[in-house]
Amino acid sequence: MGFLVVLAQRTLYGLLLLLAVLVLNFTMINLAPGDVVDTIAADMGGASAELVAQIRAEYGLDQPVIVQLGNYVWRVFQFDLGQSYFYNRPVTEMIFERLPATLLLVFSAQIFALVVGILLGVFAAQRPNGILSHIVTLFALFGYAAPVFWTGILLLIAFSLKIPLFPVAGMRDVTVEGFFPQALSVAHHLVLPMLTLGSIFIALYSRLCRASMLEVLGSDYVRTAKAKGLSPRDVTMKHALKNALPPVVTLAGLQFSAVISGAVLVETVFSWPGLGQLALTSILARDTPTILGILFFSALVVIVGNLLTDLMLRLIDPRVRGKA
Amino acid sequence: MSAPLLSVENLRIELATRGGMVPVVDDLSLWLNPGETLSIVGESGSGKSMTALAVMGLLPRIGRVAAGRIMFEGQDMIQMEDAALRRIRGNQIGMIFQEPMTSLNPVYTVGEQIAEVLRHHQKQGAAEAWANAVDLLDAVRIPNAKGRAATYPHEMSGGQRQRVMIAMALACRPKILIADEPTTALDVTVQAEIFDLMRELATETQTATILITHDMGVVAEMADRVVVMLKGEKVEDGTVTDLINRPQNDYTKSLIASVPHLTPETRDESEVTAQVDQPLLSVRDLTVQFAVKKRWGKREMFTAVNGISFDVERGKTLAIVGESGSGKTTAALAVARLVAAQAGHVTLDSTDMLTLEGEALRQARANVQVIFQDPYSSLNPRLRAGAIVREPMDNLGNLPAAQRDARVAELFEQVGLHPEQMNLFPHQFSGGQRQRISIARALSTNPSLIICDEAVSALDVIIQAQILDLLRDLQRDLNLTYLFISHDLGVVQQMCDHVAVMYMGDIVEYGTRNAVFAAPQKAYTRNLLAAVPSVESARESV
Repeated sequence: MGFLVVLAQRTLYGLLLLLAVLVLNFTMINLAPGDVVDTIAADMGGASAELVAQIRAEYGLDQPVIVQLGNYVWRVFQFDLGQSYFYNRPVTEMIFERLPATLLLVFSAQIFALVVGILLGVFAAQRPNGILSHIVTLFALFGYAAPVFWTGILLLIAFSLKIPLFPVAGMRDVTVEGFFPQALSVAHHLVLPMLTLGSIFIALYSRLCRASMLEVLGSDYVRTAKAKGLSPRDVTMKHALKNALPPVVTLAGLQFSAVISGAVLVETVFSWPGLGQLALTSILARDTPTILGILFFSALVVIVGNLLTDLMLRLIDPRVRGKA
Repeated sequence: MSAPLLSVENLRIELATRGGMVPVVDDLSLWLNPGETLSIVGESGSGKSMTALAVMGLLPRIGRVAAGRIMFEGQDMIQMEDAALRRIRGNQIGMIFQEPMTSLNPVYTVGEQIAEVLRHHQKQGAAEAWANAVDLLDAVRIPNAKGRAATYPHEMSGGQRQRVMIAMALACRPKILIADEPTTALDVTVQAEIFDLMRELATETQTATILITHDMGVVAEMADRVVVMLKGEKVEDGTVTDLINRPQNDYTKSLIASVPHLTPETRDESEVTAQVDQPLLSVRDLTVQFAVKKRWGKREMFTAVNGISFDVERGKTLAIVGESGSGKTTAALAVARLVAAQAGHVTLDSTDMLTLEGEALRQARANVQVIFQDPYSSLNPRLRAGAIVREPMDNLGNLPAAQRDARVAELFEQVGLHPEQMNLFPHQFSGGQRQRISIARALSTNPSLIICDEAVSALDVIIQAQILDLLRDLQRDLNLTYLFISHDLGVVQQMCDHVAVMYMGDIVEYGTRNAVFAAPQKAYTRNLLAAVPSVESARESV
């Protein structure tokens, strides 16, 4: 099967999935009691039934749900996610302002967790019953078990307040100018949030990588590699690791949604100007269009993440390439 | 005689087990002269593979060399630094393994896997190493070597993969090639080709070979000298001619005796019980096809069994022989309704097997039982042996529940196990004992037909002979009918009354045992028979 065929096929599946997500999100939000008009009325300190009905009509909330759904889906296909009730700005605009920050956090945390997790796993598999292997396991489980906001706050106290290595909050220093100094500043701000978010997933990836490596290290082709006189490093990193990767990559793909939900918390702890903060405020404000917009983009990120995983697997394992 | 190339002196290898260090090789001494082929022969667990791995310095983690020396070019390889050992491995001593299907790395092309050795040991550049890898593939007779170098192992057959392994092991023109059961997993005609290739390349490159095998026939055809091992110790050694013609040790004699003589001999017909004119099993135009998915979801049919017909008389054995992919197992499983047939008729005991559905089909399964090849994976590891044998009776038999345990005990005795062993789990039995459990399970519903699907292929030769004896005894005592599927012509010759030779889904030859073995009509059958290694080549003419 050609690479392009697979890509086209997967993209089509992705689009169908996205449509399903759209309908499901909309329906579920509308099943929940209360809407934005309740919040507005509450902010005004109470309103008469006529006024509430008038506001509902203005937002189109008096129409049947199915009509609202139809309108919504139609607008999304025109790349219009609607107007925020709360901020009174186009949702698309607000999301695009914040999406890059979230993407940066999610992908860097995911890559960080993968690289560290895989290295720890490979390391632990060398001497599966050695003391270092147990320390790695313990350390990784600690990161997995600790609540992400707690880890975040702890890191903040340690490396921003006690030892002021990293900034406390935000994404960049507004005083620096020029592309590279700014990029450096962003990277500097990124370290703690990335560590915090990544720490949850290191445990998962390192445990799986260790198990996968142990299995592969016992296989016949690793014995062949040793019989060729290759160095232990070549045997491990070239012949064993590439075969041990597919389960880890598969898991990482499945974890994309978990990374995004973790990001919401991490962004709040570090005041990271991403979708997480926007999600929190719009949920509290019952700002349906914004919530739906964020859910839509989260789904998009998950779908793209899974597509990347799929392509990665095909790259690693030639046996997958033959299959649809 | 020049100084030996490799000498193993008083080698003792120990494995760490729960009960402490256990010797698996003890006080073993052997030597290898330049250019000669030395064979180490023995059954599984005899320590022959451990010896080879010790020479390579590749013992598993739980193993260690406890005593002795392995001298190669004046140096003791056991005392050698790891880095020095790595310069010898793959460079001076190459090795090929038993399982070609799993011994190549699935994620790299075969060309890369060969070129890697050349880059590593001979510091060749990428382009030079690749060109040499292509030449090597050509030398091991992979057609279109240039194109095939860029393919992955899963795109090759088992025989081709073993050729790639040979190319890899010989890439640096090593002084020694260690081949650990290199053809055990391959078809007999492919085995013959691989041996031809090994012989030719070894002569051409003056490589000395250590050939590890369980088959005395292979020894007779390939080796100059031989070391016989049993339970970690050398029981006998000498030149192949001496050993085959004048074996001293009883174990050696039994190994030689286990090699099939594919020469006609008349079987005592009085042994065969009650003759019936009506066949028990009658198969007509049986066709089995599998859907193979192609590009754009188009389906293409692969014909595994192509309209074959045969009969089996009650109390007799029909063997279906053929190489892997010939359709022999598929045909047998279609008879048992374990794979779906597309066309044809299967009549067993005047029941039309192929039209049965639902409960009727379930009940009919009592009448045809299967003994599978792998005694390690065909028994549920979570069930006790007694429960495994009892289960078919609980599901199918018409025996009252109260009598079933007594019947299980009776079956255990019939297959040569002790009824007290009913409470053990499968992993507490040896391979041969497990196959006895499988036989007891197959007998439990009193089937009229038993399908033996490579039932003894995974067993050591001596155990194999015991299980075949058991099957023959049971056939005589219980008037059993076997459909015996095997790739092993020696086994088939010992077991069957009639033979059907399958090739690519068709029966190419079908007849009585004597007719097929003594006077094969088809070229394919003659090639198959000729490819079986025998000890005759080493026999001294009197």
